[in-house]
Amino acid sequence: MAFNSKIVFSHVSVSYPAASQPALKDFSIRLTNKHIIGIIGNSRAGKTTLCHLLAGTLPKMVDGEVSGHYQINQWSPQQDWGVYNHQTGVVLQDASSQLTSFTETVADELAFNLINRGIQSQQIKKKVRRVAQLFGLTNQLTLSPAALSGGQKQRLAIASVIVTDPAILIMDDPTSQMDPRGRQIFFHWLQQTTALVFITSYEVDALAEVADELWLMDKGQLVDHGTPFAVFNRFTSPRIKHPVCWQLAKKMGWVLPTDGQSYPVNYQQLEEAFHAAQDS
Amino acid sequence: MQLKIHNLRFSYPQQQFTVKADHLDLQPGLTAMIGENGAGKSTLFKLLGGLVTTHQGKITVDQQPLKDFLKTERARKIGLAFQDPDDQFFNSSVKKEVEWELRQLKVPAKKQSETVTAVLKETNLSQQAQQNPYDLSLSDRKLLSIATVLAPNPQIALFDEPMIALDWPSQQLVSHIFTKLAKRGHTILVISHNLDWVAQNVPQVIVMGRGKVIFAGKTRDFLHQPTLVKKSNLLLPKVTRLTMALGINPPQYRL
Amino acid sequence: MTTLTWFQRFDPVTKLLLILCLGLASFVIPTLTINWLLVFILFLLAISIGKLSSLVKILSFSLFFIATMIIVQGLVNPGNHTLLWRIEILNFYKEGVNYALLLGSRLLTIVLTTFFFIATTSVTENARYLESQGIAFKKVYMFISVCYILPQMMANLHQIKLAQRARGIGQQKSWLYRFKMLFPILVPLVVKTLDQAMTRAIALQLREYDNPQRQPQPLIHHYLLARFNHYLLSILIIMLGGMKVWLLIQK
Repeated sequence: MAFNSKIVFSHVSVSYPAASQPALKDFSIRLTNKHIIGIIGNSRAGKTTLCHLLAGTLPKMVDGEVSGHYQINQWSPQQDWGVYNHQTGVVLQDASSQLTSFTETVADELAFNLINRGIQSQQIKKKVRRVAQLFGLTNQLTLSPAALSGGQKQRLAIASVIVTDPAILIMDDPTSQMDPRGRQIFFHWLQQTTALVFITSYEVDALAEVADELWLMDKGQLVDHGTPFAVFNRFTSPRIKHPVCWQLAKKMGWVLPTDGQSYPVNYQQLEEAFHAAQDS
Repeated sequence: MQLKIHNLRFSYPQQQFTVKADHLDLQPGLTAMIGENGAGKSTLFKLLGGLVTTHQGKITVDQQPLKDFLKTERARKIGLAFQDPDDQFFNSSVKKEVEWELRQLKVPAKKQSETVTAVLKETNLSQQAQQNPYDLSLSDRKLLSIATVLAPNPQIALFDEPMIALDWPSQQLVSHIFTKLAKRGHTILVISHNLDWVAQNVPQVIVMGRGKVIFAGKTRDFLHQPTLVKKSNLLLPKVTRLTMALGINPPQYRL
Repeated sequence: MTTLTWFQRFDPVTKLLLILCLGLASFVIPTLTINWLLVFILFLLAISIGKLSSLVKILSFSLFFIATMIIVQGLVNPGNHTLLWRIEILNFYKEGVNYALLLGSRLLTIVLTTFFFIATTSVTENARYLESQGIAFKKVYMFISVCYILPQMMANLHQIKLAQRARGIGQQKSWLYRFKMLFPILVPLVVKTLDQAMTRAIALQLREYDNPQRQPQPLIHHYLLARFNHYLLSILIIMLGGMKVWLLIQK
């Protein structure tokens, strides 16, 4: 599938009041036709700041000084906020606080964005049932959101956002509290979506499977970017976790036949490298 | 020190969910408590830490009932770090936050400052010592909450999901700290659902499922029983899954 | 459908107006006995809705507060001259004690009516009703977020108390110690609750809570005589307000 997306960042910097260092320094990138962009990096890399810029919440709601120019598809998240926000779905780092807190049931919470958009109640019911099923919340529909576990709340926050089928998704570490099954369900769903996705995560294995572009950040700067394959093979510092595929292949000496020196980062590539090693 | 459970039953008022554990022995060393979301890990964690005492059955520390401990005594012997670090910070600097713990337990002043310096160095927070805890990144706040548990040097230390929100270098640092403490004879219990990490770092596991202990013993023994792993609803370590998919023998578990 | 209890037959605005009305009434009425009667009736109402454990908690806190007021006022009220009791070297005066009792009964009136409102009206019910009255959801949200910040703080409080107890607080019973230990609880409580409120405010904007397309949701209960109640209580409130102003001028 070809994705019609356009991402432009030109010399974007962000400083928070009373902070000694800028949170984002001269961030520039220009890309077209990307689908899932994984954003990785250690603490204080600027990942959350980048999410706030992409969501248009900075500087509109989060206090900070922003310079430079940035645009997603035809919109500027800052200037076209209303129209842009209608196209986006955002999952914040603290997912449980983004639930409304005044809905009595999980079903009501899932319906909230749809009600805001004035959608017919018949359709709301249908859509709510569909996302509940996608995110394994069907048995919880009549429970209070407050009664859910941390991982379930995160799944609820995501489901409540994607229920409107946003064209652009921005997710800040959305699986941090989920158990392995929950993560599996989430990343499997992510791969199927047709939205343009920006996702920060420490789950490098999952990102290497689903992302077609990876941004590696450090101390507010873009250190490297490209396909997960390119980034993980270029950047071999132990300060960044590498996918298990890559680690296993490196240990076993399974290189990809295409260039004879790079290691696979996802399962498909691993199989390729493994069979090449078997043949020789 | 040894934490023992005998015929433990606990449920929150007006809730169906019950945590059950007939026999459980927590020996010195590193143990992980694993299980899916809602398996009862955090509840058992609070019980073992002596923070919830309205249970049936017995929890003992070296044969002494945990219920009978004075609060200071309990806090000196058992340290706990909760999942959300923001439940605890109130001092104006990282240094004072760690110091507070020691003052509570009446540690002499000279020893206090030595310990604080050492603990901050160990958790890689020395440079942030004068900063306000709330100005730290989430990953560093998490490290700070671990530092506050380490400071009084408790014989038993329990951690609820310490790896969540930690970046990669900090995860390695914390793993290293846990292993070091275990080697020194401390009893360390860590809640996790990441079998990749557990398989590589933790020799003992307690597996929870629907409020019950479904396995307790060597990590390796658990990982070698596919039906149990399936029952726990967890996933085998990624490297095991990958090698199995390729049709070759998975690497031996180190622990 | 299950049958409604009597308090579910009244809409949230009626209940809110009732709080205002009774609160004002207790301020207008200078007689202690009538105020006590009012408190007694409200107490019976509060018992009738169940939820006794939370009622006991709230009342014990209020009574503790009132007891402090009686001691302070009984000892040092500027109007004190009729001796009531003498305990060792402490003289308690009638004027001060009466004044504290009157303030106390007013406080209880407000506490009990507010308890009645919160215990009988869910956030959803309240929000839907206000929205159905033509108030923009954004304003409704601001109103309810203020009303329900307390339950939210209670939930955080529970977690924070656990975390701080794990760090060894709470081993002494002295008042000074307890006072000092308020700090470790209050700071994280305020920071966390504010932080959550800010995140929520951002999230609600992202989730388009102020979209003009938003449709009010159907009401949860069918209410009795809502409009009539509103008019009646509003008129009463105006009258009571007028009386209070009149009494103030007369002084």
